[in-house]
Amino acid sequence: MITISSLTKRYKDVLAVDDVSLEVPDGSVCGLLGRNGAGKTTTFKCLLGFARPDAGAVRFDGAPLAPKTFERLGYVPERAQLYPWMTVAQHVEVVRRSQPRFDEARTRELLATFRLPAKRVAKKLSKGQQTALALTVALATNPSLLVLDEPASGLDPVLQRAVLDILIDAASSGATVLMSSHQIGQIDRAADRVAIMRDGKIVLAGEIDDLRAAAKIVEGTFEGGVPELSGLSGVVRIECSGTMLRAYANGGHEPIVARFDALGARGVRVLDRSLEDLFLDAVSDEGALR
Amino acid sequence: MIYVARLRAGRVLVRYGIFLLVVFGLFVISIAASHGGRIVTSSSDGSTTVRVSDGKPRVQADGGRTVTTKKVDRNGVTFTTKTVDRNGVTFTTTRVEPNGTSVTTVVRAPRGGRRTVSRDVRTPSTIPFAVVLIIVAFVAYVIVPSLGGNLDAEYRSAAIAFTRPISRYALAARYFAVDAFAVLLAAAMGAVVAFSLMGAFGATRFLTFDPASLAYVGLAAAVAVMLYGWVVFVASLVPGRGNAVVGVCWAFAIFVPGLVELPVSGLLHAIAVGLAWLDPIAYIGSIGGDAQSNIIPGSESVRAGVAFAIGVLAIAVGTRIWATREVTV
Repeated sequence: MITISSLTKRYKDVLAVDDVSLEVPDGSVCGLLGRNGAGKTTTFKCLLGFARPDAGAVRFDGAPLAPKTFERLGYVPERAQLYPWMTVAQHVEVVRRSQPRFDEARTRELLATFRLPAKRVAKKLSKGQQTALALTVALATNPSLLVLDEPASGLDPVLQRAVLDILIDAASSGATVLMSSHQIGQIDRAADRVAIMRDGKIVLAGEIDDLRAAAKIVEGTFEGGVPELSGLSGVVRIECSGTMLRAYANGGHEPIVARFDALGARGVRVLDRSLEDLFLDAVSDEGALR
Repeated sequence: MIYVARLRAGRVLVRYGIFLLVVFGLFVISIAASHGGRIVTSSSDGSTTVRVSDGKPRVQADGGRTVTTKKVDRNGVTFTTKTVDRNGVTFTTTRVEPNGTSVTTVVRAPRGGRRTVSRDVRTPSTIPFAVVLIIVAFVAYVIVPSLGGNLDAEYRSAAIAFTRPISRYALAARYFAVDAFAVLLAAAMGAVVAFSLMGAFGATRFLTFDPASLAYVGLAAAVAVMLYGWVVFVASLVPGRGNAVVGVCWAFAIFVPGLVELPVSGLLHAIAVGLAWLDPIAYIGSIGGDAQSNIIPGSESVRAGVAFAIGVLAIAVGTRIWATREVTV
């Protein structure tokens, strides 16, 4: 389990992470979403001890970060930080020599999946191959804690799918996975929970199914002009288009449906919202869904 | 992570080895070139005579001709040059005896003049062991800054280096151990090349060992520690720019002693001397020379002690900064 409590990190005048609290339970994949500069990478750096938080704490399975934690923690950075002059095989050797939980068979499997040439030096690998090597280094110990900053960046669609499958497998084996991605489809596929950051804060967090269940779109079609809709709780945004009125609900949508009926809607329908909708709402300037 | 440190040190040593091989090769080529085109004849007494330039006379600018022969026997090496020009004939014989004594005899027989003979005996010059030691150490210093910059280079691979189950201090300590071994290896490689070259020139017999020269072992090591420490410290202040720091450290080390020698006013001279205290190379001083002429005063032991203390302090502070700084890459 990864527990982040009131994490705050400031770089001079910029509040990069603002009182972030998040809990990722065992066996869960949590997607950390946000626009560029939202604070995702800084949060990861605070998690790994790369940056010193100004306030707050991070705990892994109840214990603070210590060198020993890295025996069961795998990390893939946003940009692969490899040894450019070392070969793929030498990177693997680094892990083999430094990690007591190194899994030879698993590593061979990963190298085969990613089709990495063992004797090629890292600087001569393509961007996707460098990401794949970073993933191999991170996953070679079958870690129970995974912190992945855009882990599928630069990979082709086949390998992206393979990486997501690996993460889902890891979580189903009890691993805790915290990953960020700009590909919402990847989060939608792999994650069971999500946290959306905006300006250093978490503006939306929870299980994806719960968030989807709470967030609906109620569409009503009216004869003539659309009526005025005010005083409704749980509505985060209203859009008008011709004779159609669309209300974005967060929470129960039934009162909105009832109101539409009362206003004489010719037809009312309730639509599910995609994770992308939730994300766009959360990071929009209105920043509605809280 | 000692594996990466070893690989890094290995890369530095390979480049250093190539550098030494090139130096060695150039010397061998120069020796071979100076003996080029020779004819060797052996005598029944076991001596060999070399006729330089195939025994053909070399024509000089004034029209004179010279023939040089080199004879090697149990009494040493004898070079004989016969020069014939319009003024007459001159024989110059230089015998270098096994004990290093050289005797040069010049016989001039001018046309129509009186033959003259002159003789010059020189006792062997000596090469203090300390001089060789400092030269070997100085050559090894070529790699010291590069090794010092290796720790900083880990910063750029932080996602791997700093996610191993060891503390950053332990990682740094391993680097220091590997780098110390690499410097010793570099010094050993330099010593092999130095003694091989001396052997090739027949100069090893002139080596003299003075127990006092052992102080230079400590001084050479202390200067290496100081040089390494500075790179570790300065690189920790500008993370990710280790290579630039290595270059600047060398420039500083070589530039400052020259600055001290400049005929400048009192204040500038005082500043230059102050900077020299930070310069590892300035601590070497003049070997066997007058201690008063050294930029850094004091005996070899004192200078070694100061250099070592500065080096250790720089390593300690640099490591502290390196181990606790935030990763911003």
